[in-house]
Amino acid sequence: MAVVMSSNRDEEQERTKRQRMRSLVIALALGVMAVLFYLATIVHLGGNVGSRPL
Amino acid sequence: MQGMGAHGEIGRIGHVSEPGVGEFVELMKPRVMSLVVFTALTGMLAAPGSIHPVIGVIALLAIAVGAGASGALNMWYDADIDARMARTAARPIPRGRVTGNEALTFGSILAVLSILTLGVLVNWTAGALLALTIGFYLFVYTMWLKRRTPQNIVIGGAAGAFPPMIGWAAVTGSISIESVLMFLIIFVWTPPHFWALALYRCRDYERAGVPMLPVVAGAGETRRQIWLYTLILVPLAIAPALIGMAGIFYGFISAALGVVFLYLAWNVRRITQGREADQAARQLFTFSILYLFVLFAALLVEHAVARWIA
Repeated sequence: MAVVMSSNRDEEQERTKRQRMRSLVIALALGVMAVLFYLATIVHLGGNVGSRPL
Repeated sequence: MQGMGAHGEIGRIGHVSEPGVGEFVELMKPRVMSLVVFTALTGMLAAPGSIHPVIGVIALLAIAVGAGASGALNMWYDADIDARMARTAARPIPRGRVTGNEALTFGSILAVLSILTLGVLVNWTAGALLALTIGFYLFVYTMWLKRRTPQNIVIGGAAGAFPPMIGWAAVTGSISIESVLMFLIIFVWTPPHFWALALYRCRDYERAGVPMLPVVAGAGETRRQIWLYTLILVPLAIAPALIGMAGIFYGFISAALGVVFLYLAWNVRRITQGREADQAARQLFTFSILYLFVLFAALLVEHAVARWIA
């Protein structure tokens, strides 16, 4: 009985660890995507964006 | 939709706990992805004109993710076949690590994101070509041709041949004879590459019910077709040097590699019995990977050096 409970706890811990890692990677991927869109926007705007008439 | 019936079952085989990041990376077929990125980069460097490095990196990332999406969607649809083949039985879905629905969702999200990113941030010619590639691989090759005709990898090979065209289009916003030539090289390379594999994995494909040429038409016809495609491939691969798209370095490399390819393909045609026949097919398969890699590496190095000098 104790062995089964310990094995269930290990499985639960492993499951939580995997979930956390997946969430972390998704967050990281979204962050990278946001940065890439930002950088691409700057590149497309070009160097003179600051000196354009408002 | 032949493959669909098995998906629910396969997703439940064994112990599906929470899939980890590694399993999702596996779904993307990283080795195929790396070859796709490599040929796309060659297409970008070979193209006339320039691209801002940031946009270039974004284009390559989008192409890589698009290739990964194709891999995941292919694994979703072909899970039943994969489970029956020794080469693919350890993939995440047949192993019970990822469900079919998870693979489908993952692949679909990546496909949409990669196409939109390439279209919005780079240009819509490249975006449309990436959409065509993913659609062709999933609908034309995986769903339609793979289980129906021995010409599956001949026509389906187009999907693997598009990346240099996408790379070229990312820089120029267009399609030209040079990018079509790079497409044709990979397109004609695909049949001898896969048929060499199918020759020594014939029973695997037979068991899975995939009508590869050796299963349907026999080993003799496959050997003949490998030889014929090689005869087309070798001059085609030298052509970039002849039309001024590449220089002497590439011309020499492609000619030397072509001689080896011809020799190995001739061996496959000549040696038809016993373990030596399997060995000849294995040698051709292994060399064909090196062949395409070195060919595109030569093109890439030549153009990179030319840009660096200029």
